[in-house]
Amino acid sequence: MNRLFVLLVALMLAAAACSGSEESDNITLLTHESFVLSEGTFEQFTADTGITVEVVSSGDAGALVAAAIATSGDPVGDVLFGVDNLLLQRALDGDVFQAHEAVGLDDVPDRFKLDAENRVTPIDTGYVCVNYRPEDLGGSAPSSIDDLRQPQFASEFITQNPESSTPGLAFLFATIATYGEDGWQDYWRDLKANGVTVTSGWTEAWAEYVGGDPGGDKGIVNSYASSPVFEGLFGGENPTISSILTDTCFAQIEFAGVLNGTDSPNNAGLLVDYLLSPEVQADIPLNMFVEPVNSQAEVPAEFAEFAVPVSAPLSLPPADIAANQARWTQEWLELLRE
Amino acid sequence: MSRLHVADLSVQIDDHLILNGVSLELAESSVVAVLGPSGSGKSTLLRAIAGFVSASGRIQLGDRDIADLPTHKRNIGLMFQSHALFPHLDVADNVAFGLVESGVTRADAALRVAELLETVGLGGMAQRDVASLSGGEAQRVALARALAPQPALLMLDEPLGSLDRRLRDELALELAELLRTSGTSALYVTHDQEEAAVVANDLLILESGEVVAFGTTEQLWRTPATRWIAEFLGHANVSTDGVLPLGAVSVIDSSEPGAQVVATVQRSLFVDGSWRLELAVPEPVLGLSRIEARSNRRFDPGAHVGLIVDTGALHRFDPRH
Amino acid sequence: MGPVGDWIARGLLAFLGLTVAYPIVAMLRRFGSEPINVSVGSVLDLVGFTVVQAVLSTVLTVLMALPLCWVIATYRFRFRAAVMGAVLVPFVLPTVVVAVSVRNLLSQFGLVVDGIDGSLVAILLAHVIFNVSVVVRLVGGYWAALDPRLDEAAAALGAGPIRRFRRITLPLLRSALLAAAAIVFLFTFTSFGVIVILGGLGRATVETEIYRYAITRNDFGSAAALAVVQAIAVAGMAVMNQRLQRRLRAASATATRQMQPVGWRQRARVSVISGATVAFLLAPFLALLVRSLTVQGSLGLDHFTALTDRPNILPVSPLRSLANSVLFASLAGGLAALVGTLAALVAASRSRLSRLVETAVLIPLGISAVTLGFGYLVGFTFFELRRSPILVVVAHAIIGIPFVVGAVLPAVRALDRSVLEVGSVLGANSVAVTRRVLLPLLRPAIASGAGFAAAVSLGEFGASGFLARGRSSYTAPQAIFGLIGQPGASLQGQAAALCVVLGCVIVALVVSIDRLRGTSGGGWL
Repeated sequence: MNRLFVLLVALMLAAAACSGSEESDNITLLTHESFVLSEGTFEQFTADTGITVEVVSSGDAGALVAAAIATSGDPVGDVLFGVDNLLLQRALDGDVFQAHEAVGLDDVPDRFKLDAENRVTPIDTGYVCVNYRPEDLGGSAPSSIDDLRQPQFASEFITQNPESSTPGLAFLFATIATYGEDGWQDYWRDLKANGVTVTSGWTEAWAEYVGGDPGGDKGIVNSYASSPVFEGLFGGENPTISSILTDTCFAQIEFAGVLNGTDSPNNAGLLVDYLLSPEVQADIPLNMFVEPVNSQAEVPAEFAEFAVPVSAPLSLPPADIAANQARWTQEWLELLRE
Repeated sequence: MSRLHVADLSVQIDDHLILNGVSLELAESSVVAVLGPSGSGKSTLLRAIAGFVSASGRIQLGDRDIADLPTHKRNIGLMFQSHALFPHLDVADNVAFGLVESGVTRADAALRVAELLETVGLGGMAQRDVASLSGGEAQRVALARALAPQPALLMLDEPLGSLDRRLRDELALELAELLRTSGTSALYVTHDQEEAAVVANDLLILESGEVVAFGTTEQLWRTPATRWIAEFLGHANVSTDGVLPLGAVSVIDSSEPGAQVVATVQRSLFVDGSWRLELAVPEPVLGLSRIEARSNRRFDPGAHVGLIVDTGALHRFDPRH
Repeated sequence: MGPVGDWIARGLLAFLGLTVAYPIVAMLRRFGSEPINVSVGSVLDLVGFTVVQAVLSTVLTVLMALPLCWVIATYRFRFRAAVMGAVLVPFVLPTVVVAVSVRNLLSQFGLVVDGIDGSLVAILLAHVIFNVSVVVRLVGGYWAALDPRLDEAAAALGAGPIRRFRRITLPLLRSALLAAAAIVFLFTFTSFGVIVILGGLGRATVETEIYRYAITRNDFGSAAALAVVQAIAVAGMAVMNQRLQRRLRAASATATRQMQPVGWRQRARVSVISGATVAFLLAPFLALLVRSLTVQGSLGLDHFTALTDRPNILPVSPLRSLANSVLFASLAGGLAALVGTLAALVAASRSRLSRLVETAVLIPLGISAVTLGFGYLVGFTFFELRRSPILVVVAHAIIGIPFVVGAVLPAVRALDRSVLEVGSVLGANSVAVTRRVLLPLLRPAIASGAGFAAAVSLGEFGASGFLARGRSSYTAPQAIFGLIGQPGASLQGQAAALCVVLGCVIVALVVSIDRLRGTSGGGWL
């Protein structure tokens, strides 16, 4: 037992001694499980720079960011991709990232740049939007977020618990962004009176939606702007496509950043630059079904065919989110359980 | 009157006829030993009467037809070779099990248990853990447990099979005494004829699921109906014609006058106080080319001896079989 | 066991210390100084509800499982092995699939599970579906090895079927029932998905709160405090379980004697009980089967053939993910079988450490996946262990170990010591006795436990979800989550097909383990 312990300590010391100050040519990209790019994407990067990339995933975005905060300063990887504007402030406050001004940032519109210190670099953007099937609503489609509280859409709307679901949280933020600190509770009281259904996650909500699988009887569901794209590309022949209630769309921007504590900040920075390069940016839509933020990137036609343009998405400043999220969700919970 | 009446009992398992039309009568307060080679259906007969296997035929116990009753309503007692004591109960609770089922109050049950344990010689062991009992003690507990609810019929399946010879003889005598004094009617499955003789009044022999003999031990021994029965019972000199009792053959010195046949000793064994000789005869005697005999004198293998055979003692098998 | 046993015990405790205790300590060291924002009162409420739902779930699970246990113990029938495998299927299905199915099932009986108020009934029902297999396999196997003559003796003594069950069978099964109940209790004690999906808003257990504080709020101080409360509660229960087990005497196992059902009545009994239980457990699976075969409204195998291709949204093809899962399951099952068998041998021995080992092996089941996952992340900072697939195997295996111990320990305790003594008298040394006598005797029990451990791994239980892992070790449950996380009929169809294949893999695994044993009649399962 004692000998084993001594051996372990010796091995650990040896391992510590081996890690020098040289930058490593092997970079680890830490991300969530939804991260996908076309095969060969990182081989191209290796060919260009001589740096190999290992992609390591760890749960969903929430778990990924929580783990990054917990291991801040001693990270599991070198670059993290997958923190979004909903989680951003916490990650910044948790000292997860170090500053890196990415090449190509000039081609990114300012509304995506949420950290003045460039600790994170925007990579893609998507929208959480209310989807509906006009044909299943007796022809009377909702035309605005306000319509969801109208009696003709009673018991038709299904959304998710903001405590356990990112789209659920985004929709709560959408109502706060629309009705303000003083108005959102009344809106939700009306939704509740109108028979809103709340599930814990997206999958259960979609299962109760008429356009879902296996499909339920709800005509309106809180989902993504990309949902019609999925329906179009993966719905077989003659797919039925949902419509989008565009004034409910809340922007979800995903960022990448160099992790605080990496041994290879420069090489890690090169990988962030690569993620922002027009080639990778153009690869994003058909793999992760979100839009690139680099205006130089070309959006594939297949994606554009079904994608609904969202011209004026809702948003809240990350600092406001971090400061108020716990209170808002608590108030929301109490309101719905009244 | 008869205590147990079984008529035309058959058991079939997976297209295999284990019991084929077995009938038997068991008189009040009598004990019948069931003998037969392994696989002859002895245990199945007990299991069918107990209701563990489904059987066709009639089973009447006393004046009740029990064939369609579940086991627990048949009022029978059972004893297994493996004792099957309940491991989670102590000695007293094992013995009291059936009493509790028949609705006897705890207090009355305790009295009866103490009395029974005294009877089987286990007074003072009431609180013992059954795992700590010796084989003989466990057997006594099993007997006390089976007798406690005063069953209309006790069935014992090789109850002493797991014990050593000396203990077995001792317990067989005790068991016989206990069954007699309590007036219990019992079916006793065993493969040991001596044990059967000690415990039972009558023997029932099963072969391939059929009753081939039923009668007193002496009857069956003296007048076996078939060659198979004679051999099964352990007769030495059995031929196709009949069976020659050991006492019908006298061995004399080959030089002595009066010898009918001169035989050669093949093997000699000293068993139970005398020499048991296996002899080869030049010409078959009463159909036997080898004869077994007893002698007080020692003859070594290879020696020649003279034989006097009482041919009139030959029991001829019933030609109908 | 002599000094060798003590050394094995020390090794086991070191293994569990490193994989369970160390991560908890590491998490405390990292977050112990952060502020705690939970009140004592709210923690008490939380523990109260957690315990109540776990107790109710355990009792219902045992009641639901007992009839099938009886059939398994009593009869030998053609689909026995398949039934034993089928009960494991819910185990490997994603929680959300089972939960949605439970909600549909309840709504057919007029009970609408509202997303806001939730339903305790739905929680209990889902827990029963997930855990019946634990009781069926641990208790059914033990029951099958009970001496049938005990039951017969009781019948002859005038006890009817119900009385016999109460006075003989139930007391004899106590040890196995307790072992199974302890596992079900801890499993439901730390249940996460079922509570979140079916519990409604604000319904929480210690486990869901640890998740909420750590992941949703990044309030690691509160999460660590709750993790400590959970660990203490679980350790207390493990000690209690061990004390109770010591008081029970294992009934000795015999050569089993299951019979073929005879007559229409017995046949009906076997078919109705096994059919009804399996149908109840497989309702979610059958819905998936139908879904997987439905292509554009008609019947087809397209979703199955599509599993060989990588859809855009996944890093690898579903088939490849399945191969990864099977590999992980084999490794985790093997590791759990090894450690669990050693632990069972030590626990049954007279080693001074046996009680400690018996208590310790149960604890991983009751520790939050978040606690372990984050404990690994902040604890195993050396050797780049944090992103090694070894950690995933370990995370799966430590959840599987209690199942192996649950199956093997009663078998060891019921072993006739004289068999082993005969072995050593015949001149075999202790290694040879172990290899040639002990292991063959225990093999069925070990195989049963290993099958379970493999199912745990196939279902991706435990801390592995929070570990960082390379794309090359992307597993089937991850792929299913990816596929059902988006609209699109073909993706949903492929998810259903992958679930069906995963279910078939576990049944095939269990049936082939059964074949491997070469027992037609059963024995230890």
